[in-house]
Amino acid sequence: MTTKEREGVVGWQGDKSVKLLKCSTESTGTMKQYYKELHEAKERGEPVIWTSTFEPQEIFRAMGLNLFFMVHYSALCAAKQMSRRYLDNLQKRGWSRDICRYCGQRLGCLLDEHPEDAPWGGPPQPDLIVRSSVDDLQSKIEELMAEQMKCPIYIMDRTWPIRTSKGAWHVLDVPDYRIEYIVKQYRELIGLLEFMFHKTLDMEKLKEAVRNSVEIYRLWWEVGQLRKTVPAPITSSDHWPNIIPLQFFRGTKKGVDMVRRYHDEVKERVDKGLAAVPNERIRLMWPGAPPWFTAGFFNAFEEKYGAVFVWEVYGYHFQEWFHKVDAEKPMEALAKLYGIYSEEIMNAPSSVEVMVEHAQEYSVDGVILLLVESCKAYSNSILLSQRALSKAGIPSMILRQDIVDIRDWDDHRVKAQVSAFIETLDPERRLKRR
Amino acid sequence: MTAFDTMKWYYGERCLAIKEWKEKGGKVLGYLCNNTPEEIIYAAGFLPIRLTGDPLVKTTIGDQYMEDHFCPFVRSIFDLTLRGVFNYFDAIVIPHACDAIIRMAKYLVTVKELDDIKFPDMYWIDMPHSRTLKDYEYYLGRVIDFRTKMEKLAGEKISDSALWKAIEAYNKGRTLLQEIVRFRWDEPHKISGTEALQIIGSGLFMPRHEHNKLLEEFLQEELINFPTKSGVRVFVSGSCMDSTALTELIESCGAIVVGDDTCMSDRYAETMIDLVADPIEAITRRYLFKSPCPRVVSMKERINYFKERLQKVKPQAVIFYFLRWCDTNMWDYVSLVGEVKKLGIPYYYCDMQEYHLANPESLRTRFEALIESAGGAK
Repeated sequence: MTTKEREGVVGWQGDKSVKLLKCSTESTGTMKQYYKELHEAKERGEPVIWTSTFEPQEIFRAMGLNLFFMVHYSALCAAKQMSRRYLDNLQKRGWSRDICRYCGQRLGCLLDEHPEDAPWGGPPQPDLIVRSSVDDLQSKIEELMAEQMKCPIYIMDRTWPIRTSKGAWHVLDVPDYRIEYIVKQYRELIGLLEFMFHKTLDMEKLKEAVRNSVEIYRLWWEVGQLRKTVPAPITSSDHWPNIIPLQFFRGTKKGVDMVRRYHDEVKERVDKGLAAVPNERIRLMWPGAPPWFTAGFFNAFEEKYGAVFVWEVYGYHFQEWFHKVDAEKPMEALAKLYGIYSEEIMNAPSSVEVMVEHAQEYSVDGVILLLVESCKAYSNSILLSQRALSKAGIPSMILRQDIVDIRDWDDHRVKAQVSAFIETLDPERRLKRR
Repeated sequence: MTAFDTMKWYYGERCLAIKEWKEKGGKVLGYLCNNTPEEIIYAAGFLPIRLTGDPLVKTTIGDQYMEDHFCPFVRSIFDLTLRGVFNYFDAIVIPHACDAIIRMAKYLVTVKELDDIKFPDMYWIDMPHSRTLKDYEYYLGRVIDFRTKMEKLAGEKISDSALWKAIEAYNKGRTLLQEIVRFRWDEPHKISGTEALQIIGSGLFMPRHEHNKLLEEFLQEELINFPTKSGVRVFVSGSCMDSTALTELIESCGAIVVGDDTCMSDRYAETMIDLVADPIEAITRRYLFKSPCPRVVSMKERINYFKERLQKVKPQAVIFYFLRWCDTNMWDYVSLVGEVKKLGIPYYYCDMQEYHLANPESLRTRFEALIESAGGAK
């Protein structure tokens, strides 16, 4: 077996994306440097915590703890064409091919016989894994990972309402008991961190971290407003790299600086009237995570159709109220930001409402609804969304594909499906709708 | 009609008790999952009836709203709800169970708003995955809230004494059902897996007091005369079994299903309500800390439970039977099968199964091979 074959890199290796912003081209380097520093910290004997994006990163940052992001590593493994091999590792050990692949493949990475092949030096040994039960599965996967890495795990639970109120995603209007339950868990987590790592949480540092996040969300929200501009100043290819500060540098000054650069570069393009796609004709929405193994997918329809992706997942998760939480009450603010909101926004009926509203606000011609069978957290309410969009006169198509598993991806077929959909779209219809 | 025949009848004719209760002017609530505290519904004077699907009805209406990467059992119930099949219920209760059930509840609300489809009022009970003190305190609040909602629906307070009476009836039922479960293990085998499903499951479709009477009659007078069964002792692990199709198939291959870890069978009978000072606290404790289903955190609790069950039941073969997209079971599988391998027991694994027993002859071949490898019929 050749090294490349062992690495799972066989056959087609995805399309490269075309980025317009300087900050976009630099974000990969920033993250790579972050991993290098993480490994160096580990070597110095500093603790490393594995966590993700539904957890209060600001608490860890305020305590000066090093963070490894499991969800980022899944995307990285896919981008580095390692998913095939890591998913095969799971199947070899008896797990079904139909288990959650996005989160599951990182367990496949840990089970691999050649850890030296893992991208960017692999995950550093964790001292603790902290996870929030966003669905039934993620905590299970993380429990298996903790077992494999022989480290403790702390799992937080969440609160699930069915319908808070119409338009609940605009304003966070939730009963106190839900906030209290989440805050109680955060306090328990802080106690555990203080005990395990002999550190004390400084509440002023926590407030500062929350203030940084609030600024990140404010700038991010403003970028969202700028992206409503017709013609679009950037495409999805510049959106995806810039979720790095939003997702993984929360609570930090570095994160604020990175999102500010992103904001300023987008604003400059808007001020100068620069179009990302000079012949922009069709505006598309992609309410899902991207196929991480082929970053150039989003540029594929520009030249022939003048089609530009103007809205994606993460574009709507961070609403205006995100930057209006009270940093002086950091625990409550964190509970609102991370402990409660996803149950609303990532699920019907809120996710359906937001999609229709944003399709109108972003002057969208068509929506490509990604159906990832193995991920219920991201892939739900697809048919309901399609129905609601249809009622609002907005065309949509369903694309059934995985976001990390290249084994089922037929590039020609997927592009043909999307092209066929684009060919049915008529910008005049959008103008009439307005 | 014997007590057993009566139970078998109620298991098959799931609307029977509803009709009888309604004729007396009572209200009937349909509910999902073992996480619904039936005692509170019963104490409010309502008849709780378990919602199940229908494998023979194609989910053509539900399929317009719910994607096919959700569990087919839940999709069937969702479809029947939209068809109006459950409109004779005065309300339906959905607890926080698995990811598919959460989506069913959220989808129902959305469908109602989008397309104005009518179905009974829905009550939701949130429940944590974890089972520590903070989770207990949160869940206690949700159970208190559910009591209040049931009081509103009933138009009167639910007294503590009514709750205690309901707890007494359900605890008595559990004691009797646990006897049934134990009889499944013991040789000579008097109760088959199919009969066990009918006996235990019938209690979900009739008033608890009446079911208790039938159980007593069955245990005291009929069981002794039940024919003895023989066959390879099989344990079934997996998704919800709301019909006898699977056990009938397995038992037709020269086996007897002596135990399982499913929610409408052995697991329903387990975990008594401790008689602590406050009835709502007693109910909360039972429902949060009951025998773990696959959605419980930590996963180890479920694996340990499975291990204990194998030790008690002492099967000669194990069948894992998971419905399509029963993700929790699919993730637990490798740990579960590890325990089976440690004991050197032969097993067969079928995942991604349809709600109706699709391709039974293909399964029969595999089950026969398993049973033969466990020293059974050729």
